[in-house]
Amino acid sequence: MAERRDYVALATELAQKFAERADAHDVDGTFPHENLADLVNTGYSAMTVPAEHGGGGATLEELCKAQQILAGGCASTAFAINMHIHGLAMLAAVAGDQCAWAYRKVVDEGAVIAGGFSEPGVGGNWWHPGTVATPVPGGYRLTGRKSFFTGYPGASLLFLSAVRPDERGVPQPLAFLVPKPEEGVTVSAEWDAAGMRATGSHSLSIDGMFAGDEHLVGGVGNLPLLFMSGVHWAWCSFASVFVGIARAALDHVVAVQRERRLNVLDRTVAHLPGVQFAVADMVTKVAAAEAHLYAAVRADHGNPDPLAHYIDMSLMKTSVCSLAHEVVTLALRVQGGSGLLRKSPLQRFYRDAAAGLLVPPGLDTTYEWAGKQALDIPIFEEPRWAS
Amino acid sequence: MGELSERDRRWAAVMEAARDLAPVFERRSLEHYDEGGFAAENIADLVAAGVTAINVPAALGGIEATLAENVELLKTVAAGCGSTAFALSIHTVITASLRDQTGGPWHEKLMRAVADGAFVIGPFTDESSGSNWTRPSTTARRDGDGFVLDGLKHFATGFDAATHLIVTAAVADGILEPPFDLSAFVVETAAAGDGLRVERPWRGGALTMTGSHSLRLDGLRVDGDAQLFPDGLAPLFVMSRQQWGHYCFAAVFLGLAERAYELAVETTKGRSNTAVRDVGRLPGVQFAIARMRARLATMNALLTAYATEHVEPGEDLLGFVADTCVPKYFVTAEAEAVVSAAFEVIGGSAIRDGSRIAQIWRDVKAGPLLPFTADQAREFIGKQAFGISPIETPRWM
Repeated sequence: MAERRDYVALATELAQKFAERADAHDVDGTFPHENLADLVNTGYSAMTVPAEHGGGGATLEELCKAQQILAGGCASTAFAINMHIHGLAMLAAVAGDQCAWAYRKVVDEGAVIAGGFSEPGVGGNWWHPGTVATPVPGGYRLTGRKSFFTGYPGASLLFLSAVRPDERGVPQPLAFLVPKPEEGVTVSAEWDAAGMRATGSHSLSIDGMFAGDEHLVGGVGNLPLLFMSGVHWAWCSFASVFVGIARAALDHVVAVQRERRLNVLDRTVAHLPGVQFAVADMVTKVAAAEAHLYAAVRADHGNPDPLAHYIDMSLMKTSVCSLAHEVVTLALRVQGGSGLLRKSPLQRFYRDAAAGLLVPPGLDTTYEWAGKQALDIPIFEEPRWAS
Repeated sequence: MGELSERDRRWAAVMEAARDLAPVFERRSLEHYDEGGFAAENIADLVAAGVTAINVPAALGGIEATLAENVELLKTVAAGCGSTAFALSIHTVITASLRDQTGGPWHEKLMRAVADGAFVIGPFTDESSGSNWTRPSTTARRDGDGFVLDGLKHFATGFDAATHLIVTAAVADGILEPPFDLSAFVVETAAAGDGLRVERPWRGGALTMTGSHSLRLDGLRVDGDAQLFPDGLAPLFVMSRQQWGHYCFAAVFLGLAERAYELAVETTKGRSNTAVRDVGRLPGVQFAIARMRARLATMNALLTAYATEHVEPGEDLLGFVADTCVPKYFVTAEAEAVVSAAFEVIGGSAIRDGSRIAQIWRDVKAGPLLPFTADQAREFIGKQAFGISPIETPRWM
């Protein structure tokens, strides 16, 4: 396996290659296995394995900058591998050497993680999983359903949540990292969506899947705390993918309008004031989104209040992804009808960026929590609102 | 934490003074905003606290505050009074821009005066010039070894406290074409005599206490030494200092927006009415507060990034000017959105006489109008993105 340490340069190289394949995977809704192989073979997928375990030990800033560029080539590929690389970083941060066996698999065998925290009927409330983990000798049997299991077709390790009722019947959320089993898990619905079509975000049926005690991450019941403490890896990396799409849309629109001529104009379309104004808005929004993202990346992540940290990071993700969506909307407006044609990458950027509004954390919950926190209202108090 | 350096200790003291003064300014704003008198007492307090001297060069014993520090200070003052912060921003922009300019006889003299409490302003908007500061209608006619200035200057923000004015004019000798005929002069207000008078006192719909009068320059004579830059160089100088104007102006409006957010939170906490025991438990209020937080976080991140990373002009001066427009354009527009949201959260009582949020609501309307206006910013940023010169004429096809 090649030793690579400049992940931004590597992302730049790979993004060009992935961009050539992006359209076909988008149209067919196929999973980009060859892209994943490139990411593994070049060492990109070992980026966030701790250095002492043979990985790249990449910082959050390196990760985000690389992912931003990769997403400009193929957002689906970037988002699929994002589950792996940010998941590894989070595992390293919250579970440390407990997951050493997985780091070895990633570094030595090219293993790839797919993550599943969304479930039908749960919405964006990932801390309330419905998948049940029943204790059995040596581990647990898991039963439930998972949706949006991004990267599943290429995964050899599964990172997923479940719940174990305690002796009082109170649900205790917990997480497992398990080698993808031969049995106990089946694809109940293949991913077929309007955006991020090549992510293989299948729905899964989990029917008695075994997870050993050694595959439990952290302790029983502390999943929310662990996740909130390490959430910067998740939400910053998510945001980086969608900023990457926005910047790619901006670059594409600028490059095209500089060469584009219409019969009624004696100069390129770039000279039209409306085009310049819209592009100015795109430039400004991309700058704002990047600034907010990297301010969050460089913030002190040692906040002693995990919930406050989670809210700050969630607000960042919602702002950045909204701005990214505004940018791709403007991109289509500038390009006009030809941007909707399949041969234009803009329509794909547009559909992919829409997913940024929908991936966790959910907008409404973020606003509810951030508003309540600012107003000193207990976030989990019932009833949630005044009647 | 290590011990602060002497310089940092002085800076911390300035910031502490600004934080202490902000609530004082806010009380005065509540009393005087509607009558629109100039915030002279506030400026005097800032001078006394050493705030107006922050950009004096270190070589002259000053703090020589960074751009990011200027931004932080102006946000803090704006939380108390937009008019005061905006008047201060004119002074800080001018003093910071001029501090590393050497050569002319006036530079060191002006900086020493600022260290001793001088307050410098710069009315750059002329009658009929719009916001095209490179095309002044004010003229400078050579007269012996000096110049005679004639024209009408609008928006002379802070004039009532000004000890010095930086005045722009077109040198009317036909040698240089616009915009290179632009020149800048130092005018001491105490020595200006009848050549300088308030033609129309400020009665602003926003930033009411800035004293942004319209000034008549009527045969105002200045010495040749008062010309700040050699012929033809003033436009280049101003462009190379555009970051100061854009980021400092943005800071004022970000400070106002932050205060609006605080007011919305303060007003909501513990608030009840005949129908709702705790207004803060209404989802619409919570969502609005959260949206404001998110917007403010983005604005702060953008302005901080620019004030720390987009500071040096580099080789491409016009590209740099376009780049500096980004946070000014974004922050002033977003500030309006945040203040509007705060206004709605506070509700009908916000419209009642004397409410602070209503004052802020009016003040933030000025943000997008200040140079570069939103339209100018969009033109520069857009053209820069396409590699089209923003000063090429004709501007449009």
